[in-house]
Amino acid sequence: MAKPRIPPANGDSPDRWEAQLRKGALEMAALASLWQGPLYGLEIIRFLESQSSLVLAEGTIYPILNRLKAEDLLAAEWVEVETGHPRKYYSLTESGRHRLRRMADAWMSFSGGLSRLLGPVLERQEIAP
Amino acid sequence: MTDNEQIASYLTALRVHLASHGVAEQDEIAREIETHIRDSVENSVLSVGAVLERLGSPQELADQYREGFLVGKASRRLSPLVLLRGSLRWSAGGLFGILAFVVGLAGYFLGVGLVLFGLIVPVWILTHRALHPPASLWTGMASALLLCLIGGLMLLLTTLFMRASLRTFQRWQSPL
Repeated sequence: MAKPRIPPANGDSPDRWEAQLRKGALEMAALASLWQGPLYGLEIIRFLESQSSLVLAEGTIYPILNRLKAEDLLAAEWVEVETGHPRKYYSLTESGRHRLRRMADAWMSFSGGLSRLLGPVLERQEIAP
Repeated sequence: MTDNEQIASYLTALRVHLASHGVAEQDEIAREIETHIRDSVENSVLSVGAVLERLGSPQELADQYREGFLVGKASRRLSPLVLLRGSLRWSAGGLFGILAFVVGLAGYFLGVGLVLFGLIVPVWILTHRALHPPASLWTGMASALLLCLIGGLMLLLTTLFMRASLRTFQRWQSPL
């Protein structure tokens, strides 16, 4: 099944609500992708594609990483690799880890509540009352 | 156009749209985006043109950097110009931003006006000393000092308000 793409921030989308929802979760997803260790930008994009349904316009992730770094939630360093060119690796800072834990707690509580609310909606096939 | 020329042209346009950032910040962003482009081409069957298309236009990409950067930077600064620019960026997104910008502008104008008036009054009193009895001279000086203090306090409160507003805006942008 084809995964929906998140359009760039200024792009028009027929399903704007879903795009906004996914975009809002992207900051948390970017932090979560670094929970197990440092990754560089393209690895984060690939990680999000493989581990979640967050397939994003590639230009979206870098400004978010930049902002998270400015907020001291992420650290970044250029690392020389044997093959190829240097890459900018991102890792969670201590405050980034704390923030992510709080986000994850709030998200689980929020999504759990909404799932209960939406359960009956998904059980009924017909839309008319 | 060769691959390298396409990449160089994209990065040049990106830098132009990132003109409000410092040169070091522009270098850092351009270096990372160039790495992304080259990595994407090396690790997939995509052409440079296709990778650039997936990145979005240089202006779209720069806009995304600028929005987070300007507001984030402004919320930590004291400069009225930077704070007003940050709130102006926010005002494009809604009523609260417009309100913050208008309140900030009015606060700075009023604060600067009071301080200037407070500075001008003593000069006027001293140059027209003959018109005033000694008692009213001291009252006038004290009033001028009070105006300066109120103006300064207004500038301080406006700055604190603007910083707090921009931090609130940043929190609204974050999902949680």
